[in-house]
Amino acid sequence: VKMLFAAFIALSSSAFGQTCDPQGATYAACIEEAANAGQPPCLSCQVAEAVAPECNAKYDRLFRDGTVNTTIAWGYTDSNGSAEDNVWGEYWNSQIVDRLTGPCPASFQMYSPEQHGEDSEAIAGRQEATGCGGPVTFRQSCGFSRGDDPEIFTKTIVRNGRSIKLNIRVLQSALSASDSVNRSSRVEFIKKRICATTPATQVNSCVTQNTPPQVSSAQLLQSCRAGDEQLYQICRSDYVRRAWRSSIENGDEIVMYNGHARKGGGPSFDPPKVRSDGHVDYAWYESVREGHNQEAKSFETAVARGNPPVIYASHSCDSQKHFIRNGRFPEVSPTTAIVGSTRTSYSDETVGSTLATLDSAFSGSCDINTRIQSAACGFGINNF
Amino acid sequence: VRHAVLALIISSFSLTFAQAKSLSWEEAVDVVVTGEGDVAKARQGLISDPALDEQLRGGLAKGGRSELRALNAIRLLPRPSMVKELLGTLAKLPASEKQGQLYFVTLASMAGGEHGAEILAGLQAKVNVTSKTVPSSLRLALLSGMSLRSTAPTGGVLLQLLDDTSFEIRLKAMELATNRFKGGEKEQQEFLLKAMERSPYPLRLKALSVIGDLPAAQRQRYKSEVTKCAQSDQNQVVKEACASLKF
Repeated sequence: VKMLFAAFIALSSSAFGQTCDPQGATYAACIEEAANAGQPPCLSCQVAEAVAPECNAKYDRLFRDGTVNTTIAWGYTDSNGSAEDNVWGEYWNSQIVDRLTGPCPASFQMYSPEQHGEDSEAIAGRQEATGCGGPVTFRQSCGFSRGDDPEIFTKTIVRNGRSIKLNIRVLQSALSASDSVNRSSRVEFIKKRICATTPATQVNSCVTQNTPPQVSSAQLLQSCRAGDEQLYQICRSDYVRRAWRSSIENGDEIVMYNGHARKGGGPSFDPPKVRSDGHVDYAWYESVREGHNQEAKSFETAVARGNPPVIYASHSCDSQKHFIRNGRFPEVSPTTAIVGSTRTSYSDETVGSTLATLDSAFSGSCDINTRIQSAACGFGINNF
Repeated sequence: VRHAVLALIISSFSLTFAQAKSLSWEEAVDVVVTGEGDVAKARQGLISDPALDEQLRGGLAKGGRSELRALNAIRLLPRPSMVKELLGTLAKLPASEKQGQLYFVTLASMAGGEHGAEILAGLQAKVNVTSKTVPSSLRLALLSGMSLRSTAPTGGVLLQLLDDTSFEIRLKAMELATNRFKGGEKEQQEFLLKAMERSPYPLRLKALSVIGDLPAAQRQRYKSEVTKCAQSDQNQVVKEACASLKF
């Protein structure tokens, strides 16, 4: 068996590039050697990480078929109805993408570890317990490749002598970084997809007749074609929502939502509903809870199919309060571990938790909660 | 019973007192950021506070979460009176460090408003958008700032960005090209033809959408590339979009 294993490692080294053991004393030298040999960084980091046997069972479901599928869906990260036009998520997503596609190991340090009003003793205590706020190193949240589809990131690792394919799909809800541009793309969409054959003199009235509330959003969405998610916000939001629900229902092992909590009404993939005074209509989000009801329904479907996500991350403000204490997790899917926030979470925490959750899971880490807290103080994992 | 009634009265008084107490600037910013609480009231309280700029300066000087909170307030309200101060601090900070990056991205997100030109000049002095040594997230923030201000780099730089290692930068170059090429037909053609040959596929799809909107005579110049794409593009959606374009 030992010989077979050695042969496999040798084979995987030649197929994937050099294998560097992060527990080994020569890890840094090994990475450097691979880089000097001109190997692409992602090929030099097929980490065969030692996994504690007591944690194997927790990860059986994650690695069982040799492929781990992950979906990260960014919500519509507008500035909560403020005067600012900027949709904020693009920059923070690029912080994640830079590390996923960059060389291994990747590093990260959040900017704002302390909470409001917290004294330095409390901060020091937490930092001592979890390393929270200090620099962290990722050996798996890095070294991914992309092809022609910008949403898809892939790499292959060796775990317990077995080759595992890691697929990450990253979905971005906002068409551009400008909320006004995104919202105004609806007019263009109606002109091109609904009023395309209307005589020029009647186009404006055609647009008016086909703008909500004259028609429902569901009616408009019927005119979205394949590829329109790249051109029009209305189609983009619907595309991301569908892909996110499908990832929960159809067996993705890890699913993440990174975006606004909307006071428990999230996940939210659309430009927000606003009141006549321009402020976000939180009363609507709180009472209807559209996003949370949709995610709960998708989890019910996944549980009925016997294949719910192993890990679900709700990277939004106070998500433990909104979606666990006052929501339907974990009861709706008792075998799913849920990553959530205990407080107002700023975007750097979302980046830290996303990378740490993936890194810990892909490494088969026993102390996933500590690793998440270390990278992103306000987040932790429940039900793991 | 008497004690219970007394406790109830005391607790309702404390509740009323707590509600009446105005929020600190830090608490108010958290309400604006999260939507937890009365956002309109918190926003109004911040805007009408004559000492706000002074408090924001204190937050910036304190560092950590207070600094982040102050930057959020300046960005969200927005607070143009603080722009000069942020630019001054940014000029002294290395863009390779987290603090400099936060100032950079905060300012970039304000480029569409008051002092936008000044902001862009400050950001461009700090970061070269084609530099290979600057993280793509920062270069993306600068390009987004340009987009918010409806401006763009030169045609030559945009062409160069189509070869960037970051897909996000390539896609942002396409977004900016629509600002840049209003009227510049030759530059536009060079850019669109190059985009039609690049990954990722949304780049080609967006180029195709621009080509589809051109007047018939101009569109004709892309006929051979679009015909080639209809036959052999590796992405089915792009292939079909090429096939559906009429000449």
